[in-house]
Amino acid sequence: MTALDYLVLFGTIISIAAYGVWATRSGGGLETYLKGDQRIGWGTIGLSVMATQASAITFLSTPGQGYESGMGFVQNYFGMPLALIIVAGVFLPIYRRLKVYTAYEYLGKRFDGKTRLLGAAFFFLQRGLAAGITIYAPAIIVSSVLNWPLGVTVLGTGILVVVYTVTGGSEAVSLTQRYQMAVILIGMGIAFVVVLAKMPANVSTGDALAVAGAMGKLEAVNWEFDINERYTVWSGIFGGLFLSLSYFGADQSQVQRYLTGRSLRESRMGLMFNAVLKIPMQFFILLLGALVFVFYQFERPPVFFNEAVWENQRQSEQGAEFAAIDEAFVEAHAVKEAAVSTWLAARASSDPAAESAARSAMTAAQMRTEDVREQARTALAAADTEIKASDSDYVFITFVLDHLPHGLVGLLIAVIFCAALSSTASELNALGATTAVDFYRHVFNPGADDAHSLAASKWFTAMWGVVAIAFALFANLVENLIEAVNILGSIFYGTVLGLFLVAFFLKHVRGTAVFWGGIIAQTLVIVFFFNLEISYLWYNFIGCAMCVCFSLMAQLILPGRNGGQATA
Amino acid sequence: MSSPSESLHRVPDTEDEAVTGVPGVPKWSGVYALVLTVFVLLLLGMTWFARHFA
Repeated sequence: MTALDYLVLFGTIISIAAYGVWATRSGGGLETYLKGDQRIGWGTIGLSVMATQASAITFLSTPGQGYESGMGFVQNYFGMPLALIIVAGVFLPIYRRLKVYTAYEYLGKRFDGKTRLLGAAFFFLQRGLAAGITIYAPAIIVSSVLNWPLGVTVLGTGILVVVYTVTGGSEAVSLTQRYQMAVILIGMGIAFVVVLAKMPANVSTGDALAVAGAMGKLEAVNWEFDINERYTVWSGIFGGLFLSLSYFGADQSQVQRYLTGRSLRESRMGLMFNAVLKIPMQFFILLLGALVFVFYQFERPPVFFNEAVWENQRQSEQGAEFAAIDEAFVEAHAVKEAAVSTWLAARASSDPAAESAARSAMTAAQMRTEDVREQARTALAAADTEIKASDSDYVFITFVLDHLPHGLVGLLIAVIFCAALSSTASELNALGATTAVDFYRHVFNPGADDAHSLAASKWFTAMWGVVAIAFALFANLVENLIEAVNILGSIFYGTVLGLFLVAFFLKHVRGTAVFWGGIIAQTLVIVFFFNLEISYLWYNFIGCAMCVCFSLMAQLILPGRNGGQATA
Repeated sequence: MSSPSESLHRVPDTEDEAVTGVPGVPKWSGVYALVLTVFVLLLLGMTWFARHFA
């Protein structure tokens, strides 16, 4: 990183944050703070919803996933368009008509206070932890590759996001997300162009795609119905539908984004913007990863992309073992580079036999380099059990730092921080709003006026910011904990979605029934989780189905115990 | 105050035009159909892409 890179990086992220503070300096009441006075247009809503979902780790991990495993991950998003249509058609009009600040406030209006608190409590369990992770995850990677102190990176990111989220509220979050998302899209677009431009002169874009395809990196769609396959069209549409319904319909960090719309039409258009553009965006980020893979067929990559960790081990007592692996990798890569060039020449010659033989040689060479990389991972794990043996999160940032021109390096690092700031801002904004509206004003201070509630919202947002920063600073977060937070989300999402589906579609089910239905379903999901070998994504469906079924049964068992009147 | 059941049915688009010229067909049905059509086209496009470069 040069002075120019630092100028671009800090100039970008600080100017966007400062704009957020400046544009919302006039303040306003609770309505303005939590819903931006409902004057936001569909374009900003669309970018805001997109920016909330795409955290920094999305832009670090997704190209790495394309590099490592190919493009199959895009199928994870196949349930999203239908889910967003259901949210736009069913959830959104009800939220707007009832003029709620939070999704859980709707549960209170439809059922009763205890069901509202149950929904809000599930949200805290998911998002309270996730806010710390969204700051920590990119900070650990950026700090490692740029040799920055982790604490400074976490504190800098955390304080910046807390300042503009607390002062400007929901409108500041939406406005800054518009520009942060613009920086992200421009930065990723430039990276896409650069990786194509950096290919050898005799390798066309068609050749690059052919190499990626021959190496199995472009298999974006798998139509087989195999529940053991992690990513297929069917698991994407079915599992993704439940996950997306819960996330966009019942997670306050998203609900708060589209409730800022100046009309139902604007909010719906913002959601449809995502229904149409999210899959192509993920496709191109994964394709970028696949093209980085092709680039590294002609330019030798490091054997392990987290080079700081690798270099530490090379300097240790076992350094000779790591140096030997390095040598084996140099040799294997040279063989593969020649094999790829031979295959491209054979492909151009239109000789099927030569092409087939060259393809086999290229595949064998690729397997050899993968073997050496596996040896590297095994050696690292044996040397230090604390080391994260996967390096796919480091692939893209290594490419950026080593091969992008100065200035653009700063822009791409700004992309990562913009993504971290935008998703964290939505989380803090939603956590503050839910604490103030669903707990403080509902339980502890029902008579609070708007001015008092506004001050409480700001304090609660700041409190959650401090919690997130502390979590990122002091918790020893490793790969397993990050995965644990994802698992925690899936465990609770199903039941939360169940509460909302009962609310919308089962008109005879009342508060007490759905409350106990939710409690029993959630308890069983937790029991199943610790006793069954099921991929955690399935709990989104299982939790939802059980919540609906148990609510119906409880309504039969508890006649006349309505558990509160709806006030809608 | 309205009855509990009122919030359970599909809420009319009171902030928008409620229906198209076709009686009983909500205005947004066309937009949703368009979005699903785009999704199907994307799916077919990605299938072609994967097979073409396999």
